[in-house]
Amino acid sequence: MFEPILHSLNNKRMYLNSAAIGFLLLLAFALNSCIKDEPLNPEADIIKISLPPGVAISEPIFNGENIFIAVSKGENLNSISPTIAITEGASISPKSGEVQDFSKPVLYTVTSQSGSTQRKYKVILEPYSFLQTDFDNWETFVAESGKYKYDTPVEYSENGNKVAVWASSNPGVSIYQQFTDPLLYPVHKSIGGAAVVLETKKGPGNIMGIQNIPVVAGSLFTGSMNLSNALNDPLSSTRFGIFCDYLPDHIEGNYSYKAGAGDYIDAKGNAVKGKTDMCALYAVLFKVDAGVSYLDGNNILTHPNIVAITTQTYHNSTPGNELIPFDLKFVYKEGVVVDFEKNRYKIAVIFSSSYRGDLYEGTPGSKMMVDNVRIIKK
Amino acid sequence: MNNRDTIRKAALTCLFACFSLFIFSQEKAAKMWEYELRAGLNIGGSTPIPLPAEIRKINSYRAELNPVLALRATHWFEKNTKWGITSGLVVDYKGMKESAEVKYWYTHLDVGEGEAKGSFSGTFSGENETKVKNGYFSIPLMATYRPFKTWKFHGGGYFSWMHTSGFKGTASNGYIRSGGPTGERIEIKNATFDFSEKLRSVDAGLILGADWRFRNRMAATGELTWGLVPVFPSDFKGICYNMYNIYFALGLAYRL
Repeated sequence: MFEPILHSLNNKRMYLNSAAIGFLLLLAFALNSCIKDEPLNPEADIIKISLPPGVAISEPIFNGENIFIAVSKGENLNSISPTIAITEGASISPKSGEVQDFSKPVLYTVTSQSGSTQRKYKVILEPYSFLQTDFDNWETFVAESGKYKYDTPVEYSENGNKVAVWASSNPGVSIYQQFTDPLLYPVHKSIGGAAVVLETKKGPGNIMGIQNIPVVAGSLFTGSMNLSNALNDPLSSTRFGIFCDYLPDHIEGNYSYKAGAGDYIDAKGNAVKGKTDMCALYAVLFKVDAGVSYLDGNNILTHPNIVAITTQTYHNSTPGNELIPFDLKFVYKEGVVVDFEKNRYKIAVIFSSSYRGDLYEGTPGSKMMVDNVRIIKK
Repeated sequence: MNNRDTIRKAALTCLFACFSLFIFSQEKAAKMWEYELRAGLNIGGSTPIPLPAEIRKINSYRAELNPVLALRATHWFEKNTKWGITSGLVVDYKGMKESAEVKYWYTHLDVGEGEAKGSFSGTFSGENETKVKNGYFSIPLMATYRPFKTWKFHGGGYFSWMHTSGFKGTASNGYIRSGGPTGERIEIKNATFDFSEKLRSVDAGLILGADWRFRNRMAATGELTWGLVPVFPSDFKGICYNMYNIYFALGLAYRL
């Protein structure tokens, strides 16, 4: 008696199956067939910029809207035609290959293929090498959306042109924390004074399952920040070093440091009892070659191209509340010959309110101030 | 979520009430009333209509197992027994797993937790995988037409309350531009998102269906439910376009 039912159920299942498959095919077809034309590219980047051979003595440093290229002293910059690669479909004005007068910064505007967006770049060619700073000059970066602002110290060349020397942890933090008050970012200027303040702060924790950021440290260094890897591999995002054409003997200045009072937090977000935070304050001189144009968080103290490192790298809290002097001698590697004719060199000056801040470790509340930095040549 | 707990309790009470009513009224209304128990599977998607330009390619789609269970009552009109009015209670899941290639896909996410939490906004280009599994209690109200003994058609609307929510996924092998297309480019190998708690807890839309009676009490059923209310509220900015529940249920009906 059940047979006909079973039979019909079997038929039924087949009917259902084929109907289901048919429906799915129809759905897939319908969805794919209504895929719209590709939207026009809204991106407008300068991807690469190169100068005629012999002009640049360092690869371009991209720092937000500034592209800084170090050139030799005495180089005639009045008529130089850079070759510029931009986002596919976008257009640039003035055009790539056109002769420009680079004795002043040249402004380039890239317009996206879609026409809806533009990016402005300032290309700066300067015979600049870093020797000293009092952190008197600052620049505020304001996001296009107006949602956040942060400060970065800037330097000026002998010609009075602004050059991108410093990179900080602020742009990385602004990816996931937006403050309209620049003082809330881990790197900012001191209130009233013209010193740099670096502060370790609580991080946001888990970022979209990519990275756990329990702590963000205030870090400032000569070089650039490559945000491209900021979430996947933070250690590689700090590109240390700017062009250097002299032998440094020692670096001096004033600083203060107070390790945070609470628990030291490790990269997993766990409190490490009894551990006290330290600050990073050091400088590294290294040779640039075909394979190495910068050092990063993975190799800043260990890379074979390193020529000299200051005597001390990490420092404990300073007594009192005032800034006290520091004086760190560069210790040259034995047997290394520095030859400015044959090779090019870079110097990285690094400050951080937590010495392992690049691994997202530290004690929230750790605070460092730095001012009047001088590098004394040999 | 408390809201969804309340919905669950209310729906169970309602279901019990309907069932009691059915038991009591069964004998009296032999011919005027018809009751059915229906079971089936939902196939479809929670999808934008039409697909926005940001979606470049659908890599894969899987319907997933989404059961539908319904108790339905039809009241046939006295003068014209071909026509009736149908309502009932449905417990179902609507879900899918889909993978797509997207370009310049705008999103705004809350990231991190606690006092230092922030937000991220920008455009993502890369692979997006989304897994949806939402459960609803629904009440349909439909006109039913029976042109032949073996065929029954119905059409009308439904109102749903969500009892379970799931809207999760990954963004991978791509990059985001912080703030928008001119912002910093950040490579993304594999990021996760979970918008489950952001979903709207109600849905409403249209139903169109047909039953084919192949045994005295058994019918094969096919029914389209087309949501007219976006699954996310308008203040939600995680996904830059509206998505709707569009599902087709295939199943069996048993006349009680």
